[in-house]
Amino acid sequence: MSELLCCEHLTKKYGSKVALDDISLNLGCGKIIGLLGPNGSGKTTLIKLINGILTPTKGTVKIDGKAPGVETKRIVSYLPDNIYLNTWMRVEQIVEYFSDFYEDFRPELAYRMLENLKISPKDKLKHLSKGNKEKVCLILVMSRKAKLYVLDEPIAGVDPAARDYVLNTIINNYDPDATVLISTHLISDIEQVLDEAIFINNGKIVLHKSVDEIREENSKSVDELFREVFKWW
Amino acid sequence: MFGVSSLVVVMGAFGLFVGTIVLAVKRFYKSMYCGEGYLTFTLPVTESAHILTKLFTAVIFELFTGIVVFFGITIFTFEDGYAKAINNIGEFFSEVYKYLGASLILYIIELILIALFVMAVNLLIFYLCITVGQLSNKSRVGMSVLVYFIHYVAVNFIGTIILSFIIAGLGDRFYEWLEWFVQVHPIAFLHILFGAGVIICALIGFIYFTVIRVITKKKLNLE
Repeated sequence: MSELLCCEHLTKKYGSKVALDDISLNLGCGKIIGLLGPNGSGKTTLIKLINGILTPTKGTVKIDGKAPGVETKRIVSYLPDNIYLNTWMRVEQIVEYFSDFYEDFRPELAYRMLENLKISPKDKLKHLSKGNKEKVCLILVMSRKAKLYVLDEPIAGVDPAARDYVLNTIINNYDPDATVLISTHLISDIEQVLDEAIFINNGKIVLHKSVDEIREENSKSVDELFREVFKWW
Repeated sequence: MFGVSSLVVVMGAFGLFVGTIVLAVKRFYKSMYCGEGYLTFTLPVTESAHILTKLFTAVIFELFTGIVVFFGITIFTFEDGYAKAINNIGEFFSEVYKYLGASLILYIIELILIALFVMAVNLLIFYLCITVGQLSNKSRVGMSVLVYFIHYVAVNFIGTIILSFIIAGLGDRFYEWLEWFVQVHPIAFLHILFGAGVIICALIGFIYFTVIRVITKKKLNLE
């Protein structure tokens, strides 16, 4: 199986501060992968490099064999950890916006998910609560038929009742050939859907294994292992 | 009384232009290097397209502002005699056309092009300063302002030096020839002058655009 995401000796420095330190990482197709680490560990930096909104100090990152650019943005669906949409727009206008720019966007799926979460397409984004804004952002991202979904803290601002819906949305709407990379602190909620887990700390990959291997080798859940590994950081 | 109202009109016109530029620059900054930048730079669109779209929209807005200001000032100036003023302008252009012929239309086109390129270059200077400012990890707005002042001083200094060398280096024979050329071929001289203006403005604009594009492509640093 060819690699969808390939990072080679990836380093990002902000002055003297090293955010990512010589990371090499390969992710295959058709998996749900958790990017797990404490605050300031480099998760968001890595995600931004994958999406081409940061440029590396050293090393390379390739998505489907190509450096981040117009071609990779066609196949990567990214959910940042902040509200990045134009808040003066109505929800239906944002759906239309995404339809215009992304060939793989499925507006009928977006409207169905909005209806399920009782969000009116006529509402302006700025009038929605923080949680509903985040749901709209997630719906737009998962309504694309992308090859790589990169979700930075998709359930952090969502109420517990909606978290199950969000996780089911992620599982049910991604292509089996696609890969979902989820960065989160809420490991116990997300562990059930993960195929692989990557632990990252101080800009370095500490662990990259399948969830089954972690459970077999350590006789612990991923959440328990995470708490143990990062206990003293 | 006329003096006070004239002052109000002039200040209003100035305020409109400044307001348009401030809005255009603010839109560029917010959509490229603030939260909206996450949406902008994850769209499958080239950096050139992003910059040109914003530049084109801003120039159109400045153009409309200019048209509004022009009509506002002429209505204020001529008041009841506005229709008569329009007629007089029409007669003026007819007389000039009799003398210049098709060159009048070409002059108008050349002047419009110069105006458009000058508007674009002015905006690109602001865009460049903001783009360079985002390279900093701290106080990006402050850095952009600093870059603007450095650019202003540098361009004036370098421009003065270059112009001094050109003027000094051309020699008396050139100025004699130029005087003769202006007297014998005044129409052609203005075409050459305006044409050179268009080319120089376009070249300067291209240089600024290229620098902005390269920095955005190679050194994007969204917070």
